Formats: sequence, C-alpha cells, structure tokens
Amino acid sequence: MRPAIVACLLFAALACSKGSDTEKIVKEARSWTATLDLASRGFAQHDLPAEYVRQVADVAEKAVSKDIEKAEDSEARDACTQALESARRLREAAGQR
Amino acid sequence: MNLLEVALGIITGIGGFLEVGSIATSADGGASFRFQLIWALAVATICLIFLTEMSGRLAAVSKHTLADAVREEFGFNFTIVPRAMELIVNFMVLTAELGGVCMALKLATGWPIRVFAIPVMLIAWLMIWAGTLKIIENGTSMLGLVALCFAVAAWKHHPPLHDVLHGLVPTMPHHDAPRYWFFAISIVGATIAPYMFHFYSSGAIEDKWDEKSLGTNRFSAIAGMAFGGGLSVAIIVVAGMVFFPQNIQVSQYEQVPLMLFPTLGRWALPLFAATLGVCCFGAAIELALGTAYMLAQTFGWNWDENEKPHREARFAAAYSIILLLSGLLLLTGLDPLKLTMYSMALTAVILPLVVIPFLMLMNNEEYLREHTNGPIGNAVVIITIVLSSIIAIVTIPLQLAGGGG
Repeated sequence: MRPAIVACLLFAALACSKGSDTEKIVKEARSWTATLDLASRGFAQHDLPAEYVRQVADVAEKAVSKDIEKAEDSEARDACTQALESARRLREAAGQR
Repeated sequence: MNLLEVALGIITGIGGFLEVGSIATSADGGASFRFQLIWALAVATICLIFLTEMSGRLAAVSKHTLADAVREEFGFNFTIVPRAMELIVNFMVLTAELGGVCMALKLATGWPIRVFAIPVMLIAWLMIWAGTLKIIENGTSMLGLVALCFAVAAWKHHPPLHDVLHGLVPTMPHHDAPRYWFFAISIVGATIAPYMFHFYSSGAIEDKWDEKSLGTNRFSAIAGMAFGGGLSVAIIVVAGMVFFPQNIQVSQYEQVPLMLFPTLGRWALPLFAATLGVCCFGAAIELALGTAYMLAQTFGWNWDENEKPHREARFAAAYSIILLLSGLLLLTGLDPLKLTMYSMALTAVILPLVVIPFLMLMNNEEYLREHTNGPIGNAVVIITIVLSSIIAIVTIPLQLAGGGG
C-alpha cells in the first residue's frame, strides 16, 4: 500500500510542475538556435566538415518546422523563425565550401 | 589472474555499459542538468558492480547461468513472465543499438540510417555466426578503447571539481522535475541492463570458471563497470561544460558530436562516430547473444557460442531471428533517440522482475554454498531496483503525455 501512495504523490507533484506548450516550444527552438551557432563556429574553424553541418541544419529545420505549426503566440513563433533562419544560413555556408 | 577472464569483464564494461543508451542519457542529462545527475550514474554503477559480480559468482560456484538457475529453482511457469518482458525490452534495445551503429555511419557519410540497417545487422550476425566468444570479447574490448576520447575531452575542459563531486549528492531539480526523474531512471535503465547478467554468467560458463575464478570475477566486475561508469561520467561532464551553459537540449543524435569539437577540434566527429559505432556494435552483439542465451536456458535448448551453429540450431536461430527483426524495425524509420530513451526507462520498470528472483538465488546455500550474498550487497541492490522501478512507472506516462524523450 505504501509504495502506491508514494507513487501517487510523486505523480501529482511531477504533473503539477509540467511547463506549458509555448514554454516548451520556445525552449526547444532556442536550443536549436544555440546548436546551430555552435555548429557554425566549428565549421568556420574548419573543425567540422560541410556534410556533417548540413545534417545538423537538416534535423534542426525538420524539428523546428514541426514546432512552428504548433506555436500559438508570437514569442514561440519568433523563436522558431530565428532557429529556421540560422539553419538556412548554415546550410548555405556548407553548400559554398 | 587470467587476462582472458578479465577481458570478459572489460567487454561487458565497454559493450554493455557504454552503448547507445548510456551515451544518449548521459549527453542529454548533462546538457539539461549539468552535473546534477552524476549521482544516478554512481548509484546505478555501484548496483551494477554488485549484480555483475553476483552473476559471475553464481556461474563459477553453482555452474548454473542465471536463467538456468531461476528456471530450476522457481519452475518454468514462474520464469516465463520475466523472460517475456526481457525479450520485449531486449528487442527494443537491440534495435536502438543497431540504430546507434547506423547513426555513426550516417554521421560519417551523410547517408540515411535505412541504407545501413540491413548491412549492419548482417555483419553483427556474421560475427556471432562465424566468430567465437574469445574473438568477440577481445575485438570489442580493444576497439572500444576509442571511447577514452570522452575522458580526454572531460580532462581538457578542466571542469570545476567541487561541482562535479557535488553531483554525487542527490538533489531536487530547480526546473523540469518530470524530465529530471525520467533522465535519472533512464540512466539507471541504461546502466543496469538485464541482458548483461545473462551474457556475463553464460560467458563465465563458456570460459569454464570455477571457485578459483572468484577473485578474477570480482576484479573484472569492479574494473569493467568502473571503467564504463567513469566514461559515462565523462560524457555528463563534457555535455555539462559545453551544452548546459548554452541551453542546448539533446533531441537528436546529430547534436552530440558538437560537444567534443571545442576540445578535440577536427578529431571530434571521427572519434564520436567511431565510439558510437564500436560501442553500439559491441552492445548489439552482446544483446543478441544474451537474448539467445536467455531463451536457450529458459527452454532447455543446447547453447554454446563456441560450437558450430548447426550443432546448436535453436540457439543460433534465436540470435538470427532477433537480429533480423531489429534490422527490419529500423527500416521503418523510427526515431532512434526516442526509442533509446524509452527502452532505457522500460528496462528500469522490469528490473525487479529479473533481479528479485536473482537475489533469492544468491542467498540460497544450495547453489552458492559458503559464497552467498552479504547484507550490504542485498540492501544496495534491492533499494536501487525497487525505487527505480517505482519512479519509472510514475515518470514514463508523464514523458509520453508531454511528448518528451
């Protein structure tokens, strides 16, 4: 009986602390922007090959494109647009080398 | 001390410990919570050292493998439920491991994962079909040393030692509590994988361990698992130093090599791809073999990896079929990182089903004579396993509901 009570309490505590969808989308989009910035830096220093940074740009674009469809407010849409712009720039740079 | 026997511990440490699950959970855990989850890895590693040592001791003293002894002691009807659960989880984890090898090849070539699924599955199958346990053990343990690149990267970052050591103390998260606990149990699931006990105890029987091997068993369990655990901590540290300050969450494998380039420069991508490929390949072979050992011992079939496959036809069919199904599942294009994270969490859910009968055997003098478990080993294992399972049952639905992973 006791483990079941502990599990229910833990479940309730964790459920209450879940963030909103907007918060999640913004966080993910910013995470992708930072990822793309890091990849750009490695690419500029000739540490990362063009083929690899193109893969990073592709997965970022795919993930953020899904999120932007779900984005309901301007903060989330802006964060997604910024990430998509970073992905486009990185892919262009990779294409030129 | 027999070096070949020690190699069994080291391969289990590299192939079984550092694999797709531990790389993914450690990288994502470090990126999201810096060093705050090191305690989960430390607790799981200590528990794994106890359990690995126990499976070797059981084999050396009683001449029984784990599945064999559980069936003999508790009967076939009792055995079938935990083994069925293990089979499902092993299938998922094997698919994730093969996916890890394909991802390594994708990172290196840019070709899609699906292109590599069947060739990788066939090479793994051929290694088991044509190779012997010794070749598999020695080959993987040597190649797996490439994983030391994470230790080098962690050292080159000069992480704040006080903060790293503080990570050994369990603390409540300041944000994302469901995610934190999901990572904690995924780390436990990635570390304590039941197939390792089947592989290790069966390997000990194949290598003809006896009571004289108990010292080697203890050494290889501690050295192998501590080596694997140390490398996983290095991944958490590197992710905590590179990704955490920039608020990067790891949601795709393609992001992970980025954490190595600030310290390893142009070697980052080749070394990461090699580590992921070799460790996942080693783990896939262990998993396929571990599953075949488990099935053979549960159903009473002949089993011996060193024998010609036609002499152990059902054993050979078992690893062939599970490898084929995993290769085919990869062709469906599922997300390998999500599959990995959920497989690891599910592993934590089923652990009590596997470990509690195991512990009962380890306290049975008919099997272990004067080598039964002490109270510390029993307590560490039971507390870790039961708590992990409860947290897993609570957090998996929350992660599923939130679309996380």
